[in-house]
Amino acid sequence: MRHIAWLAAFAAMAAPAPAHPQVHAPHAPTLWISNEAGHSVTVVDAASNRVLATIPLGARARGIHASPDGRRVYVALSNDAGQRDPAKEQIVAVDVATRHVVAHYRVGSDPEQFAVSPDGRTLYVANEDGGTATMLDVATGKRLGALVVGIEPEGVTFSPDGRWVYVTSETSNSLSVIDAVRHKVVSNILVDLRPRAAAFTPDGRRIFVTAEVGGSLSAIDAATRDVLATIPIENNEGKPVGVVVSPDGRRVYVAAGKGNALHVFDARTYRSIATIPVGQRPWGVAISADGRFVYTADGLSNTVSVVSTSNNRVVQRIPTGNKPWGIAIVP
Amino acid sequence: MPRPISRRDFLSRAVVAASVLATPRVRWRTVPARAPLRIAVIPSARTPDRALGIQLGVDEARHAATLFGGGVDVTVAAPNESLERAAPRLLAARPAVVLGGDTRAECDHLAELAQAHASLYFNVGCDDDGLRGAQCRRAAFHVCPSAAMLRQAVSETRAGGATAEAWDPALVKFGADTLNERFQKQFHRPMGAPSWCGWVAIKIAWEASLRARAVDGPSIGAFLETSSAQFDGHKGRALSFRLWDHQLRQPVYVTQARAAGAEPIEVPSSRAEEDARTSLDRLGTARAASICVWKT
Repeated sequence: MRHIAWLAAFAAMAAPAPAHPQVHAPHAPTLWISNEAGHSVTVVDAASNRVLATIPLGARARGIHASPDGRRVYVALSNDAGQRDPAKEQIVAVDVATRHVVAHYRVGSDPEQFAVSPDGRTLYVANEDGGTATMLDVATGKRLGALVVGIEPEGVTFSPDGRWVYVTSETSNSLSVIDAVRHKVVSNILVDLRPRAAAFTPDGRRIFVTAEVGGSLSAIDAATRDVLATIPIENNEGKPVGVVVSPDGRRVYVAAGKGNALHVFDARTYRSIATIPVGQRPWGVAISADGRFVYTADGLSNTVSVVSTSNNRVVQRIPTGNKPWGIAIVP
Repeated sequence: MPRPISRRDFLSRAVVAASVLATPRVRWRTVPARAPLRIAVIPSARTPDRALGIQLGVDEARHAATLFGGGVDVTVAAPNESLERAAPRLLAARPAVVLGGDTRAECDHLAELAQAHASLYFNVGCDDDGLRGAQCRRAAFHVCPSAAMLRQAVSETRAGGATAEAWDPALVKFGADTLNERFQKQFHRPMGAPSWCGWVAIKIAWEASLRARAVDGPSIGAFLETSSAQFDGHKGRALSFRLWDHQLRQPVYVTQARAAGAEPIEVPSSRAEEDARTSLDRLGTARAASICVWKT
């Protein structure tokens, strides 16, 4: 079976992406992968794992999320390291049907990660070099304001009910809690070294936060905002980045960059379930709506690894652009 | 009676306040008051860039204090004040941490005075191996790499004209690029090793105070000797102090004179079979080779 999967992967690699984006209305879910060094987005048919298109965006593409209605994909663009061109710093909206950029949003300096509110109306954007989170009205493109969070903010995530926004900040080792109704920071939680990403359980009761230099995963109680547990990844040497929780809330999947692996934990006991070798330097991670597949963006392999959650094995590797960073799934 | 603040401290606060006031629609959250962490600094006339790193570290610690409460009070020696005069005056106020010194004699003098005043001495200016060896003091924590670490790093790379430093402005990974950019943006010059040492010394002092929930030297020193005392210096590996000589474990970066623009070589390299501490302890004086016996 695995052999067949590999053949399919090579077949997918051999199939060239269209030279230019074309109007296309996919029926199956699609994966949208941001390519940091490729300055592009790779679009993949999630049913066949075949590359459908590569959309050039002209700047360093990192944070990527779909709108709740699946009609748009937002991508955070910024400068390559050492460059400073404010014109490149923006979030763009790509129309899923036409694969054309249909909107540009100015969201402050150096946008990297962001989150879309569950109602699709608001973006919260981490401004890495500004120490702020910028709020943006999607309909008008108007900036609603900026909130001071920690130093070098990175990961942004909404609670499932849309009430809270959590922002990790790498230098200050902090997790800022924003009341999305009152647009106000209401708490800051000290976590392990260099927190990168955060993910809620589907019931909104707990948040999992990765700490890249701490080499750990912290579980936080959303009501008390206490750190419930700090779980070592590869004896604190794992360099975890991306994290997702399964739709049934039973599993936590962590992409551990240095370990070239996807770690699976029991979301309730925090026990390690499996360590799955994937491509090199997996950073971003996403899970299908039915929970059957987890996808890792393997930054140095230029692939996305497709992991079956039924047997915790890689079933396919999909070629991407240069340095895949994040993954969004359009249902 | 309000505490007097130095001109530099006043200017620093004014710059921070002005930058905040100049930023539209940015809202700060108020947090409960907590006693500030007090730090004394004796600037180096020989290495002025170190003060810039300290300044960035203080600015960022004050930003973090808006999140977690507390604050950072920095007292700075006057520009024309000698270390011999400034040190006893600053330490009489019992700051948690004092920074300064460029020579072995100065650094040893500050460490001795700090120990006598129940303060900690963060060494950011002397790479002298003796301060980590025969002259070691428990109140001293050595933030910059030792001469032995730098020598060993150069010898391991075996390249002609190579030099080893604690930091390089060309570093990119693990947020090094954003730190370099923050420094460049604020001071309009690249971040070199002295600036990094100053910056990370303040970051360690602040974070140790925050995690230890203490603002006094002995409590912070005790925390720094625990296994949970780890810090992110944007080098990609958790930094910690060796128990046997209080040297900060860290990788260093070797650059070759004839390879301008080349990415610096990180030493020691990571090995899959080693944890960060074991790996970093391959650089410098090992526990078994240490002759440090804390001086009282």
